[in-house]
Amino acid sequence: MHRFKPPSWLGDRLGLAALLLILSIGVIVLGQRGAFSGALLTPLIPLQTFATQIYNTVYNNLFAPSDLEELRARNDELERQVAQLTNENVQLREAEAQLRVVSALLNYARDNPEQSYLTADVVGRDESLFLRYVLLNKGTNDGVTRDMPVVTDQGLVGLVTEATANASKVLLITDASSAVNVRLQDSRAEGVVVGQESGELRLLFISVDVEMATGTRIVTSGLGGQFPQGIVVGTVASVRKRTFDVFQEADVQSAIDFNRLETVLIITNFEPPQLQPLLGTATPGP
Amino acid sequence: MRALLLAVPLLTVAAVLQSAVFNHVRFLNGGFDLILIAVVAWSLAQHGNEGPVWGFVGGLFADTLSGGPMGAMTLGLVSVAALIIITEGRFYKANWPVAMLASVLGTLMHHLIYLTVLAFSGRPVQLADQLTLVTLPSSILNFLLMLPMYQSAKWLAAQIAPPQVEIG
Repeated sequence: MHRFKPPSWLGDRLGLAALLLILSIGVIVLGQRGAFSGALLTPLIPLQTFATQIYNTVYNNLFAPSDLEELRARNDELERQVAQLTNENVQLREAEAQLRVVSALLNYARDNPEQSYLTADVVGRDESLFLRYVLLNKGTNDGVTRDMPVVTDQGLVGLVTEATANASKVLLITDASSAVNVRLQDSRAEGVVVGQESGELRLLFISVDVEMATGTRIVTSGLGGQFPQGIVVGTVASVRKRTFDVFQEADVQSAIDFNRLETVLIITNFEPPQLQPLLGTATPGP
Repeated sequence: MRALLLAVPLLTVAAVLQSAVFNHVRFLNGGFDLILIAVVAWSLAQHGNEGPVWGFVGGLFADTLSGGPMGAMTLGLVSVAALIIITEGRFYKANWPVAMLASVLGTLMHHLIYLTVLAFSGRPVQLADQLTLVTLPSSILNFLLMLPMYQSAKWLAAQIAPPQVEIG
């Protein structure tokens, strides 16, 4: 009786493919425990930095005439000053709004320490098209640790999710898994800004009773302890409101061009409050 | 061993270029996937069993430069390469139309496996949206990238292992 016998090359290929598939699954399992990433990332970062510098140089030379170099530098300086003043203005308005809401005594007593920043360059973007992370060229050697907020002078960028010796990964607020507790600067109503698959931002959980106009500024509320309060997230771009709904939604426009991020600031002295012990507090007895 | 000697430097460059340069190029929400296309092209052009090794090495680099779960892209790339080397030579012969088709099907398979791992790792995955917004435009870009990549892979394969000819 004739029996089917697979050719030897097929056996070899199946064996190798099966072995590598099993290894891949092993990598996923070990990766959950934090193995591999740091060891592989460390040697890649210098290459990554070099490639990014080349890219930025080529990009800047292609899209900006070299004979306008001085003018461009001056323009950059002025833009930086405008952004700084705008940011200061926003912070002052935020402080003013807070003063209206909370009693004067509490406001005077509030301890509002200065934040300290660490500048970092964006040296890479996520390899996956489904995720929105950026790689920074600063890591634990520079004092960066997980959960540090990342900002620019134009507002909130994201959160450090992983730090190796010389690099860190930042989850952008535009990622679909990102959720930031926010408040509207005018009405003080609180909601959540979440990222979308398309890379846009959406504001959720604002009551339909709240008046929300286009252009309303949105800042972090500090609820949950993930971010300091008062950091600009964006402005309301358009509102979707139906009277029979409990909540209204809005599209949010950030001032940051997340596709052209080059330099960011890591807030290094922000310590998230330890809420975990409070979550297990027993209900008081009768 | 030869597969590793070739794959490590080439795919290191590919991973760095993908992260630093190619990810700036977006068509809708899709983008080029240099590593995937390199792995598919080599799997087809080499006619041997090196494809999954390339998938494994390229996947490790890609996962390292990603915020996603470690191993997710590795599994996707090894699976795509494994399917190619098992079927190529048995059901079809590699040529450029096959390579173009493989770029589209490979993108779909790679993204489906990747999204499955993402979902298992607890991330929000809306399959229909992701396939429409990301996979579809990426397939088009990868389709365009495949032709030069496949020709390059064929040239490289011929340099390394020239086809044997009978003399006399």
